[in-house]
Amino acid sequence: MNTTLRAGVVIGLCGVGTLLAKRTLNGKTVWQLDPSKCVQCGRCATSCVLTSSAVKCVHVYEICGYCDLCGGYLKPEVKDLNTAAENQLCPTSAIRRKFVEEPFFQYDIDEKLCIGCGKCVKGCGAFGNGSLQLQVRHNICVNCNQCSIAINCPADAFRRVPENNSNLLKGFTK
Amino acid sequence: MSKKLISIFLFLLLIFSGIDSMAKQRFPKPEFEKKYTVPDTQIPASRALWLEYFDVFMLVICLSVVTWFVLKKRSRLGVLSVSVFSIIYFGFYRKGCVCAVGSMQNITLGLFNTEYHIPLTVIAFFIIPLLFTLFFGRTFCAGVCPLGAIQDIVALRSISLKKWVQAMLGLIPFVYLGLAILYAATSTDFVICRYDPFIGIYRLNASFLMFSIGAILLLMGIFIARPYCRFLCPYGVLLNWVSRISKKHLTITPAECIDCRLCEDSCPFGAIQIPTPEKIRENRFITVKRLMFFCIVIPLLIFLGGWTGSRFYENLSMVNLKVRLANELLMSKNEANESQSIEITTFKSQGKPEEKLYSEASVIVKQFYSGGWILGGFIGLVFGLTLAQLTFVHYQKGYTPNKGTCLSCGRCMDYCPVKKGEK
Amino acid sequence: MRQKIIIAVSLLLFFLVIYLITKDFFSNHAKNEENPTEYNLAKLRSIDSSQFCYKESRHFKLSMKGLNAIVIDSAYRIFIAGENEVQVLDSSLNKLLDFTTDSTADAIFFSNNKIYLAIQNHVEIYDMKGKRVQKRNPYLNSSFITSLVAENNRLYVADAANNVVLCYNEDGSLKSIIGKKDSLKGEQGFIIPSMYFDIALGQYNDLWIVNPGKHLLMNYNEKGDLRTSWGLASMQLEGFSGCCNPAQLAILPDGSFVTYEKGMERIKIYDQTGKYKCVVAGESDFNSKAINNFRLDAMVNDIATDLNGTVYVVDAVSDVVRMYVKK
Repeated sequence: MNTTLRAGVVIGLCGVGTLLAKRTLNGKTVWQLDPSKCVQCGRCATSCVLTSSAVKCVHVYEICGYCDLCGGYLKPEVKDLNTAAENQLCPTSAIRRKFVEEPFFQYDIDEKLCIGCGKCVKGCGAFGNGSLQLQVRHNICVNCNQCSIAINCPADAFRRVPENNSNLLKGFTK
Repeated sequence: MSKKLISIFLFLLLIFSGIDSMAKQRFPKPEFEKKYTVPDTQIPASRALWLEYFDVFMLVICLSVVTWFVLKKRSRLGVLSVSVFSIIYFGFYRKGCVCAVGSMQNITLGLFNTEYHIPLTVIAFFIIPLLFTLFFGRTFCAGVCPLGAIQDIVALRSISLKKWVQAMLGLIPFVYLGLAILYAATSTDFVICRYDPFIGIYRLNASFLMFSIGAILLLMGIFIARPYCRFLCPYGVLLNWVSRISKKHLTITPAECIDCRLCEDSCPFGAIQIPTPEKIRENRFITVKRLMFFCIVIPLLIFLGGWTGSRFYENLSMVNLKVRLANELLMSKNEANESQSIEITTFKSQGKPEEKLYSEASVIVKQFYSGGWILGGFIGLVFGLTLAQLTFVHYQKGYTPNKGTCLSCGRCMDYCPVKKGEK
Repeated sequence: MRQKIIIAVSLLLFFLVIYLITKDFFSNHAKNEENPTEYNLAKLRSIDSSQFCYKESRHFKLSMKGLNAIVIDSAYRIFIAGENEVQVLDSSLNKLLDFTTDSTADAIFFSNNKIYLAIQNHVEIYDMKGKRVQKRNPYLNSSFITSLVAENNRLYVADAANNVVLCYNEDGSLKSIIGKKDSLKGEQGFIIPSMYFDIALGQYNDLWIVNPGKHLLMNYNEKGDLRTSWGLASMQLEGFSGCCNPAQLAILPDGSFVTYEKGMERIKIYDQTGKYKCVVAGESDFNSKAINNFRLDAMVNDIATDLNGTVYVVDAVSDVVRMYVKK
């Protein structure tokens, strides 16, 4: 009797396995954030299971305007246009500003300092071209079965994407 | 008024897509005079795919090694060393994810939701331990599961529990299993992953709640061995059932049992079945009467359980984000604009029609209603069967481990004085 | 005895774990927590009511959707370009003319009984019967025309993709290019980070060009020589906010400037010398639900003035035209 049960279990497991394997994608999927839905609520910085969130601000240089008065870099009420810490929007001072030529400046993000709060994203989107966007960085993300930021996102902006096309950046051409 | 705004927003969405084609979103790069190349946006790659398949390979290797240690070599030390290796590899190196315990939810989600693409490695992590258990007993629990291994290491001063306490606590995994399946099937949440007690330790990084759960269970695990495995693990329910019909299983004695009773107190998990003396044979008539009693009581319990489960369907469904949002939206109609939560303001600014959300939410709530009935009925059935099992006495000769609850750790094997080949 | 205590305590702890898990699972946690890094755009965009010197007199919808560009002629006729269509209304909003275009016009101007339309990279001219009279060649295939004005048999075309203003003769031949980068002449060119580049005719029919990247309004003669310029980069009311503003420009008959800034979403009046006067409309006027969000598109697509000093605003959020008069 046991043998028949055993055979039944084996068949059942293999059946379930093949049924689900048919629907599998090639390769694996990873979590990603859709910047067009993001509302910069700040929960990416606090909800990740890792202390330093896997969501970071990414700069799409292709659509940056290289402006002097950068909406994502400077606080709105600055008196002098310089890189002093009290003028910077970023709470961890993770944006570096480099002079290119008059009047263009290049803005880079130091990912080690970025906490993924989205403040610069909001500023850039409101007053600039929207070239600063939040994205999940897959060299940090541990790819949890259930992303704890995804369930806290008010805009439902997280979804799974295939690993070989894992960014949802707007304006970015590979 | 709000309907008009919603239609305006829907319309704006159309404009938005139209404007894209109008090329108003084309942003030319500033023309730089000096030689300047616009830097590339870096996209770092995630963990290589072949490494994921390598994990499956390691799973098979570890299972084979631990099975060999349990069945052929009969070495507790061997099992212990595999446990330590699993803690290092599947625990600290892979950070405890993906694991077989959680994979059950992915399978459930895959069966109920046709849009979900389940990775092959997850299917493998679900099926392979079950197959090994089907043929060799719960060797997965012995040395491969990282959650089990870490509890096994701290089980130093185990105290055995009374049989009825163990049986009652043994109901909790069924509840957990039922809830996990219910929430995975409705695409709400992966409960097991969310409240995995030891993943915080393996990641070396956890919220206060996760850390406390893990610490309490490990502390408790010193005295009551493997509390998560015995009283919480939902995958353990499946392994329990499968192990009962396993082809081969761990045996305490390599040859025939001589009833020396040395192994009686050796199991920290209370899984050793004591042989029943001949004189306690029960009257057949009483057995039949008891059987009839349970034939009435168990269906009653199933119905009672199902009915209770269905009463709670609203509370259960509130965990689902869509249901919660729909509820908040309904309640916010009476409140002022300023006190609205960010979910409500975001939803309204996205311009999706409210009716769609309400209809989706009500579909999910109906699923929870039927799910509540099934869950409750299932618990009722299990409760009834557990009661029945407590009242029936097993007739057996010699000391053997309970095929369902034995975790194949091998501690008992060292206590047995019988040498292989002896009669 | 000691064993019993240990068992009791352990079981108590176990049920504590279960209680903690259930409580956390069913509670509505982290839903209304304050965002410590919040960038409150609504507060930033709010304008004190004392700064408003204009009020909305009326607003009107058209049968046309996707309103994009607007101009008013000296007879108070309203010319509006919408989605693949152009309509002309009289001052009582009766439709005088309605014709379709190949695609939505980004700018519109009326002069000498001809309607000039900026369609993608080239200019098209229609007559007052709705018939296309001429379809001109683009300056470059990559051009993107955001504004055009006609004056004294010359047509000035603002090409935002190539950062220049082109000056055409009546027959369509190119007369001169304003703003071409020339290091010998010290001409830096116009800085245009996003596709908003507006030009307008001043009090004396002189040409005013917005340089959005430098937050300047510049006055040129037809030869391309700079006469004067003014402007200030600042988030405060006196200046132009963001990276590239003002996005739209219109000039009142008395020479005052009407400017629209995207991002901050405000329409302001500056006097003839470039000194800030007051506010025409702020974000609250556009009925937008996205108060604390950003929109990558501007809320206003175009502004225009008539000889009476009324300001016309194309509200992209509600797809209406709003008219503002002095308080």
